[in-house]
Order: sequence, then C-alpha cells, then structure tokens
Amino acid sequence: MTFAWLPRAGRSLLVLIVIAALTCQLAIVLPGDPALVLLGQESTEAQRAALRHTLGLDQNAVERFVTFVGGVFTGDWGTSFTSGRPVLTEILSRVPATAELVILSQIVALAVTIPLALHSARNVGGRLDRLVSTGTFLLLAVPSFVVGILVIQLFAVQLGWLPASGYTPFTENPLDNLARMVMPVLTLGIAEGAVYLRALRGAAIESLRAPYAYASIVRGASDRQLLWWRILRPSSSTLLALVGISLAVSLGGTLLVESLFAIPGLGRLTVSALGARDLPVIQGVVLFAAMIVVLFGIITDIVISRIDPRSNRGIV
Amino acid sequence: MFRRRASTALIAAALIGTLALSACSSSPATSAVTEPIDGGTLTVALDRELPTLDVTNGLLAQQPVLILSNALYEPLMAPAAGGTFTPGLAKSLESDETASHWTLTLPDGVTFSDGSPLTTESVKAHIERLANPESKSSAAGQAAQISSMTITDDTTMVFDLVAPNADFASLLARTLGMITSTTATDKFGFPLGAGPFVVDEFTPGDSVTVVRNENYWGEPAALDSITFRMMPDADSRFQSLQSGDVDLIWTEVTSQFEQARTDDSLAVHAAPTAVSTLLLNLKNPKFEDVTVRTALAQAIDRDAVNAVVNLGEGITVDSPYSLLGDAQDIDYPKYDLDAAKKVLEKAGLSFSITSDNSPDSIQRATALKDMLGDAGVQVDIVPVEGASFGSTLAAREFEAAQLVTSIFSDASGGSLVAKSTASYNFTGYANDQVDTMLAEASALTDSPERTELLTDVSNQLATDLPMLWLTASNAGLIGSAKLAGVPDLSGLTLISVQPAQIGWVSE
Repeated sequence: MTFAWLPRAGRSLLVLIVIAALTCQLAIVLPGDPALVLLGQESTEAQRAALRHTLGLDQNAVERFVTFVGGVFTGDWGTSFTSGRPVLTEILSRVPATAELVILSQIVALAVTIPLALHSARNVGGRLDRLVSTGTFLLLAVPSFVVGILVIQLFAVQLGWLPASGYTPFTENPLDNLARMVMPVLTLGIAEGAVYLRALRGAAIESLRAPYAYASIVRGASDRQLLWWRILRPSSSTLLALVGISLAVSLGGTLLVESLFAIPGLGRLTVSALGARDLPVIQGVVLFAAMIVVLFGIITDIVISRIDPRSNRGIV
Repeated sequence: MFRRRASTALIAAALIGTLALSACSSSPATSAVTEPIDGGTLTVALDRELPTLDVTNGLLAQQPVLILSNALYEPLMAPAAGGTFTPGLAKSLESDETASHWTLTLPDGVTFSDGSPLTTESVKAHIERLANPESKSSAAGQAAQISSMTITDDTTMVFDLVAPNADFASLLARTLGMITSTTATDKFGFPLGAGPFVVDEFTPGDSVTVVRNENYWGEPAALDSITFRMMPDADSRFQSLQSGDVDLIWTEVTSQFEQARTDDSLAVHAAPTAVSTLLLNLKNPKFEDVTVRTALAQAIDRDAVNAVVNLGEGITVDSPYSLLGDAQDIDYPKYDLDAAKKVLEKAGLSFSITSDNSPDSIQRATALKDMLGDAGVQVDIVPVEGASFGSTLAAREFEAAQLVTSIFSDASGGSLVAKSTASYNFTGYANDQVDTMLAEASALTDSPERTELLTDVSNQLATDLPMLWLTASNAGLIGSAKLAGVPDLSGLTLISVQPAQIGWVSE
C-alpha cells in the first residue's frame, strides 16, 4: 500500500523521458536554421557552420538526448542561444507572472461559476438559468483575445480606470500589480468560467435528481444548505478535473492573454524562443510544461479521490 | 501620397559618394518644431521582445528597436534624407576614390558610459568581436567585409575593405557602428556603450529602463529616463497609447496611422520604408519565360495594392532605388490587364506565393492573388512562420515569395538582391551585365557615373523581372502630441531616432 504510488510515478517518469527525447529532435524537425537566424542573411556558410558546431547543432539525436537529459538531472538545462543565460533561470523568471495570472483567473472563474451553476441547476428553465445558458454560449463563442481587446477599450481607453497593459511584480508594487492584473485575469477567467459553468451545472442537475437530494429537501433543508452542502461536493469531480487540466495547461503558458496584456510569462518566452529558434529554451519550456502537466494530473487525482471517494470505487 | 522614383534615388545614391568624399559634418535630419524641456520620463512600446541588450543580437539592429539601440550605443553614422548617411558619433567618414579604404575620424573626448575613453582601438576591438562567430553576432557577415583596420592615432583609423563598397557608411549606422567596450560591462553584464543613456533596469522579454548618461561626452539628453516596454501585440500597443499608459509606440499597421491622424492628442512620425516585392524563383520552369514574367507585372495594379493594403499611406516602387530620391522614370511594365490576360490565359499558369504570416503580408498576398486571378492565374498562398521564412527563401523552396524588407533604405540594397552571388538573391537571378554594373557602382564615389550605372541596373531589372516591385508601406512612431524633438522622418529611408533629442513640451 505504501508503494502504491510507484507505478504512477514510473509512468510519469516515462512520459517525461519520451517528451525529452522528442524535444531533442526539434533541431531536425523545426524548419529554419538557428545559425542563420542568429547570424543573419549576410553571414557566410563558413560562419554559420562554425556557429552550428559551437552550439552543438551538429550533434546527432542520441548525443543531444544524452546531453540534455544528463543536464536536466544535474540542474543544467542548457544556455539560451539568444540571451546567454541559463535556460532554467529564463524559465523560472517567467513563472511568477504566469502563475499569478493563472491562479487568480481560476479563483475568479470558480468564485463566479460555482454559485451561478448551482442556482442555475436548481432552477432549470428559470430566468437565471436562461440568462446563464445564453451568457455562457456567448462567452464560449467569443475568442478570449476579442474579449481582451474589448475589455481594454472599455476600462483603459474609454473609462481610464485601469492601466491597459504591462506587469509589475507583486513584491515591487502590490497595488500596481493588482491593477494591471484585473483585465487579464477577467479575460482568462471569463473564458474558463464559461466552460466550468457548463460542466458544473450539468453535474449539479444530475445530483439534484439523486435520492439523497430528495431526502434533504424532505428533511427541510434550505436551498443554500442543499446546494452547498449536499450537491456541490458530489458534483465537483468533472469540475475539478477540468480545473486540474486547465491549471496544468495554462501554467505552460497563456500566450494570447500574455501577448495582449504584455505580461512576461512562459507563453511569451515560448513564442519568442520559437521565433529565434532558441532550441535550448524551447526544449526547456516543453519539458517544464510536461512536468507541470504530470504533476497537476497527480494532484488532481488525489484531490478528486479525497473529495469524492466514489471515484476510487469506480462508482462515478 | 507622395511618389518618389528612381532619379532621386540615384541622386541620393550619388550624394552618398559625394558625402563620403567630403568630410561629413552635417547632422541628421532633425527638424524639431518645439524645443523639449529638461527632465521627465517617457514610456515607449516596442514591437518585439529582447532577450539581451548585447548589440551582437540582431534584434537591436532592426528598425523598430533602433530607438533603444541609439539611446545606449549611439552609432558612428546616422541616416539622413534620401538614403544618405551623416556622422552620428563619428566626426567624419571619408573614402578614397576606389571606395576600398575608408578613413574614420572620431571626435576628441568620446567616452564610454563609465567615463573610459572610446578610441580607435575600441572601434577595432568591437569589430573584431563581431567578426568572431562565437559572439553569435548578426553583423559577422558585415564585419567580414573589412580585411584590415589600421590605427593612425586615438581618433583616426582606416578600414581596408575586401571589395569596394561605396555604401560602407550604411553599415556603420547599425550594429557595426554601435561601438561597445570589450573591457567593461554594466551591472547586467552587457558591454558598455557610449550613448546618451545607460541601462538602469532590464527584465528580459519585458522592459528596459534607461537613465541619462551622466558621463555622456556630447549634449546631454533632455529626458531623465525612458522605459521601453516590449509589447508584441500591435492592437495592445495602440490601445495603451490611447489610454496614456505609454507615450510613444512603434507601428507598421496602416490603419493605426490613419486613426492617429484624426486624433489631436496623437502625432504620427512615419515614412514609407518597408518595401514589398514579389520574388519569382527563376529556377522554376513556370517563370523561365520573360514574357510570362512581364505579363505578371502587368497584371498587378500597384496603385490599387497601395490603396487597399496601405490605405494610401505608402508609395509604389519600381526599382531597388525607389526610396532614395525623387522622380525618374524607370521603364517598369505598366498595369495593363488586357495585355497580361493575353499571355497568362494562354499560359494556364498556376503557382503559390509563399509569404510570412503577418496580417499585412497575408492581406497583400491576397490582393495579389485576386489581381492575378483576374488575369487567369491560379494562385495559392502559403503562409510561413517568421523564423523559417528566411530559411525557406535561402533554400529557394518557393515558387513565388513575398519579401517585405528595409534593405532598400540605401543603395546597397540593389546589390543585395540583384548580384548573382548576393545574400538576398533568392530568385536565382544571374546577369553578368548587372553584376558588372553593380561592381563598378560599388567602386565609384563619382556621382554622375554611379547614378548612370544604377539607373541602368534598375532598367535591366525592370526588363528581366526576377522580382516584381510592389509598394513601400509606412513604418514609424505614433506618440503623444505633447512630445517635442521627435525628428522629421518624412525624408528618411531608415527610421532611426535618437531619443536624446526627445522630451516633453512645456505645459
């Protein structure tokens, strides 16, 4: 029992090794010569060949894999072609902005979604439910970058209430940090909240049809007691799985929102590294994102099994 | 709006030679209307992300970033009207009659930002660093054009070139001329420069704050500090400007220039510098017949492209030298749909246009597709992501390709695309006569003869048509109307602003 986590850990490690092996093929698979991107069109072939050798681009796939994985285990994820800084430093310097954006947007999404979904499920077909259903379809249909542009136009350009873009670290100026985070968090939270709302509403409607829900109503439970104490917990499995996936994927980078609001996060690091063919950074970001996905997959499973023990018995 | 043709280009090209021969002493084209007050801060939004501030990184030599590079690493030369160059940090740059030996003179008392002297030894060491492939410098190819450097004294040195280059001055307006110390670095580890500002804060990929260089050897900057924010999204940059979150933005989005011109709180500082062309891969049998290439040129209404894609803000071009000066007719095929149809419908031509995937490029490619479709040509558009676009062109893995570039900001651009061995010759074009004329022009600082040669090259390119000329679209800055000292960019072919001259108007 003590070692029940071992198979899962083994599978996770295997996933990471496969991903590391695949990212080492990027030098072959990605079109575009990093040496040409760095040295420019006016460089000579001899100069580009010399640089390829310096950067290790002339290594074969096995050599690259061994070098990369060996480095990862010793904490050396390589050096960025463009900045000359360690890749791990590059990645970790971008984590706070992305993590703050993602975590706050999840909090906002859940804070809005849960009460709306529960009350909507309790009054299926009612005015609130119709409004919520229409609203979620509308929000699901509108891409988040459009929402972002509209939000900036309204709150920054027209009303002048909030700064349009940029990022200030929380430790540097908490108020400015929060002011600059409001619109990106809303933009990301709205998109995710719409998905969560659909999922939780559906699960809550199912739960409300269960015998224990009738029993609670017969015993005189108020709506608040019924929804928050009897319905939310058994309805949360799907929502938690979605939140887990969303957190994991978003922490790998929320490119559109980061670009629109000029937030220096992992998404922008990935795109600029791709544009510059900065292979060590691309490899590092891909592996880091994979680690996050694996980690959050495990955490999500644990949380779901604790909140809804039926999931361990294959009931749900 | 304003159409300039090759004659001015050639006059301008000739001026380069003239200027090169005479000791250059004029200042760049800066016609500040109002004097800025001392002090204050400025926030500028750049359109790309900088992982480093080391000049070896090619991003710092790109037009949108020159406003930052100039602040930190004032280049030896600066662009002036009509594609000419005048001294920036340098006192003068003179060529011998063969354009193979260039004498650089520095002013007395130039220092790096730590107060240490910037001498000709510093210039030599800087260029040797760039020439070393291990520096990963984007200017390594340009540095390789210099065969030796001879130092006369602390302020005078001679560059001996591998081959004559009458446009050598243009190289010293970007990375090659942004002299950095090889012995001292700032607190972030970047080699020190000699510009009017120094780095105060730097967050890679996010922002740079520069403050006035207290050891600056020249006229001090008006502003206390400038924060450059890296904002890749064009809409977000413009909205941030409208909301007052930033004061000055770089843009190439035509609709934003149009919108800004109707807003009294904003001022536009732009010039048509981004030249678009349609490259034809001459190794592809579809384009081997010059009659077909001529018909393709006749099928494209460049005025319509300018009106639709550039919203009339740009100009049409018909040679590599179109940006460089005023009107001289090149015998480039005129728009004639009927004549084009006669040839193209018979040819049953179909091909793909490979294009970088920026919205403006795709819009332009779509306009070309429609126009060529009207002439009976089936065109597909193949969007390619920016980083692999250069490799695609270099490997000639395209049928036709749209190239949008600023290399035609001086006369060397013609050689880069038309010489049979040139680095930007993606079409496979080879014409011994053109090679000879370009080589002769590169070695000439004599204005009339050089002008005549470059006119002949333009006409030959208009006959052979390895590439179809389209338009030059506006690029530049939009800023608060309360800013003073922003130079008049209207005559420039390279947008390179020295922010030391910029400041706020008195309230």
